[in-house]
Amino acid sequence: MATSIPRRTLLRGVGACLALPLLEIMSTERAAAQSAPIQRFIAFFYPNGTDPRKWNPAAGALSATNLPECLKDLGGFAAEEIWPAGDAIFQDVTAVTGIDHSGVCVDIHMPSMALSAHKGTKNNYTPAQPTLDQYLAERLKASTPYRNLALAATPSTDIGQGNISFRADGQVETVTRNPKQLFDSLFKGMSSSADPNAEKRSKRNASVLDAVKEDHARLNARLGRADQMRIAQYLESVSELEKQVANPTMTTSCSAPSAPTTGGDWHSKSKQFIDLLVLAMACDLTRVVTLQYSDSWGVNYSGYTIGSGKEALGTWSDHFISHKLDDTDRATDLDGLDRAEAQRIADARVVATSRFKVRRFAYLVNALKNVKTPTGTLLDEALVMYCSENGDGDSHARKNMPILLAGHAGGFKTGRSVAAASQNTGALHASIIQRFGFEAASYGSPAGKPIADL
Amino acid sequence: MSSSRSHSLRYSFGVLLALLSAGCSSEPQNHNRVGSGGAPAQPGSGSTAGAATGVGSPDGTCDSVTPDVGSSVLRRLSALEYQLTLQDLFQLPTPPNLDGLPADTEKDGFKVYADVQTVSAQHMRGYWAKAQELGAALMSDSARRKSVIGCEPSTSDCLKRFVSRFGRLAYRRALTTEEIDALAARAERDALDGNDRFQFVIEVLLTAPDFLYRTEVGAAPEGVSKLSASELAAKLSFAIWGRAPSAELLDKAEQGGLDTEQGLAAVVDQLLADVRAQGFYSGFFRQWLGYEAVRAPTTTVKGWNDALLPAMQAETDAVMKEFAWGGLNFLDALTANHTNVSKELATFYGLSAPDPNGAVTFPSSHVRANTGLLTHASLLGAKSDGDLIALRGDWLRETFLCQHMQVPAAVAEQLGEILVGLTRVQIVKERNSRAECRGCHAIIDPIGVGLSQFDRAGRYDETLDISEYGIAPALPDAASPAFGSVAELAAKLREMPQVSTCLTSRAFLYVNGREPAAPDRCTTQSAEQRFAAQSSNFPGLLRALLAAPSFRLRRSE
Repeated sequence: MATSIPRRTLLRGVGACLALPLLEIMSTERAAAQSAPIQRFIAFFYPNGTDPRKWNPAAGALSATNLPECLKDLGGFAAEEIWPAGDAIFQDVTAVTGIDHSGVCVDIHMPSMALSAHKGTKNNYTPAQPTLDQYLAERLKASTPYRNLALAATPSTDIGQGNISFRADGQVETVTRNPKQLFDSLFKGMSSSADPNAEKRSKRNASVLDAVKEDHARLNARLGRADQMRIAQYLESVSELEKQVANPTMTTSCSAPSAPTTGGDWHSKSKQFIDLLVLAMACDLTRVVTLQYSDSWGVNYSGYTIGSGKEALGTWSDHFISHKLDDTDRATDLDGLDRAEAQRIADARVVATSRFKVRRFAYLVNALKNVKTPTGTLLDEALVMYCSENGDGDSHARKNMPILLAGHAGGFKTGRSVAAASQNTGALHASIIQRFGFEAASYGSPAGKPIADL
Repeated sequence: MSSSRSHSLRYSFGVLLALLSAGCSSEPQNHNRVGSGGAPAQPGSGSTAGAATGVGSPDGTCDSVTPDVGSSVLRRLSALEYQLTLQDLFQLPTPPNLDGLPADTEKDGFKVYADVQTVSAQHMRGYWAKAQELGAALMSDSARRKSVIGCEPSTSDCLKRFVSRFGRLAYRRALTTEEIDALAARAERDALDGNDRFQFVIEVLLTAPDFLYRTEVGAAPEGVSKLSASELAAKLSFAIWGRAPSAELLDKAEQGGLDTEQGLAAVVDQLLADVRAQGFYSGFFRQWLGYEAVRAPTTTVKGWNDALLPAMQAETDAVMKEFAWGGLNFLDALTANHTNVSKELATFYGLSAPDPNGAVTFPSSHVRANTGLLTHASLLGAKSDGDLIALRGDWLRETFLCQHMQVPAAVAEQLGEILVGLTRVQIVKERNSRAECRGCHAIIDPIGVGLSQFDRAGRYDETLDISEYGIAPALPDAASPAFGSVAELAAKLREMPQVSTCLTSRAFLYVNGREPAAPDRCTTQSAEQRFAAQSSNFPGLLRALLAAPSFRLRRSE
């Protein structure tokens, strides 16, 4: 839309731009006293699981000295390429070990089922019930301009590979795959100078939407039940759009950050998405976000120097590395080595990729933690979930999923590891749902009850 | 290369397929889902394309029955249809870009499944922004403005005339007087200035559901009913050209030009003869054969550069164009002994330089001789992440026989335990010996083994040893299954009637935005028969689908 469309925003980000260090100096200005604490949910998806033997911490408190190999960087890490150094966040994270996803997702490499706790699919690939983010977005009923955001650095539009967020009845949530497009939606048109024609323009644009609603009503009267249900979605989307373009009712507004660059690989896109989603949260433009770092096949570590000698990751894809030895999809440079040595190297590579994944999650967590709110930080308002489509990336087993929960929404306690062996995804989601204040004595199919102590 | 197409067999060694005691199983639908349970089917029985549980006359024949049609949902304009329609509406030399619009969702490689396409707030934002952009550009281009608007904007009745004229093209029907008056009055009242009245109208018309959805509703809101003349014109135009009908076609329809069988057939022929049909159906070939999804390799490939990707797609585009629109037998594309490649792609393949037009004919000793489509790198490379044996065997069955394999839930849950510690070769052997796996793998792996000497980038590598698997290359469905070369595989596949059945089903999907269902049996069966009777002529297949009596109908629930 035209850049002059006014925005409803809640925060003034003085000098805000996409660089996170500048975010640290931002402070939020809540427009009105909230009747209930603000709660946010973010799902961070990275494919191909991990090596659970080297990921799962023992139950109990996490400390800088007891982090398993894959989680070592929760204790802080150095800068690399586009990513800045990160502070220790283990004290803000709870690892949940042993979650069984296999009863829900009966297929391997199925990102579309990663946020579902319900078995059974529509279209063969998509959850028949809303995914966790959608469940929460629907119930939080936040007055934010964006009900939720679904972001993905993968260009794949395949329903099973390029999507992790689904509304009811298997309807795919529209995904933003280009950071520039997200920027345009969220921030383009924000201006510190007042538009003298704002009121007239606002009235005009409202009239455009009123006109299309009239057309909807005319069409709707001609349709049968199935078609009416289908175009009800149109009306819902117009309502969402109206919220997004409505006149600001607040006394302050966000300053638009500078536009991100276009193009880039999985990593640069994901970083731009993280920066923008944190800004969107800081501006309270939305409360629920999913970020898919990659589909199962694409992401690799070209451009990074990770590991040395034979252990170097080189240009192998994360998928190939996850399969270690023997698989057709493997890093074949280990073929012909002594078996034990090859196994050692393959294991080390999976530890290295897992650590990389954790560092990226930590970047997001640190970024949320660096945004101050009147009562604390964005991280205090949020639950941020790390998830994947598989548990053991090599075998595709989904009985030991890599789950990390960061943040303090609903008083969530962190800095620990909770053993949830043989408990299913329904139990995990029930625990999260309860944390957001909604009743979930059991949840999912197969059903699970909230995990004790989580 | 990795494909974005997703299904079970993409996955590495976790490929253990189901079997029932009778062999591989399938779901009772035209798009057979083999291995996931449902009614048993004989592998290779060809129970495809709506032939499973047809209705029609009591004796199962289709000659004298009342035409029937499966139920459908309102289709949202695809991104391509939207783009091409805007080009026509604004009389642009090329289609506008789609910046700001979400891409269409793919399922099984197709972007046309109507039921998975949505209209989100993000879509609405994109549609609105595009309408604003194109409206503003139009008003600042005096020549085009005159042609598109058709009157001088400052004259008294120009706005209403524009609403009527532009609205008819956008909505694919005549607007009522009330609609015209209401929209013009609203624009007069709320637009910012004189020119903005026209931009206002454009924004409304191009974000309204009557534009964004293909409102081919019929005469009754539920059940089966006949489309109106203008709805039929729109359905035809979208089905053949991928764009909204022209004013001339709407005129013809409203004057009764499509009311008769002959009239409809004549218009179908006219539209098919236009080059715009070829452009729209290049999308069909890319989605059906899967090469729309070909991507850069995820592993290092000697001689690779990213410019090869479009060159690979262009090779298959060229061959499909020749066999689809060149008056040839379409099925001969499976066994063609020639191709069309760029110089760079020829080098990548290890071929001698093509002639100036890109044509290459293979010597009889060449591995690609008489292998047609089956050895195109665009096709082989689009299925390269995962176990190539299972992937390619599955791809051939899914693409040409419409059989969809799926790992049964009970087996999938055990994969981690079953496969631990096994080598690549051991896993292939294991899945061909374990009772719960071999039913499906027995009909997939022998095909895949025969194609597995083509590497992940689609090049032949004679150093790859296929004997270690202990599986002889074969097309189990064929009368004489064993094959000693890909050319022999191609020849056997070419002769299978199921290929035509499957092609018909896929063309039906592209035309209708859904797979054929039981009530569509007579439509697909008749089209397949006509295709066979006309030497497998591709436009003939489309003609049969589009001029069928059922094409005039719509069933809503």
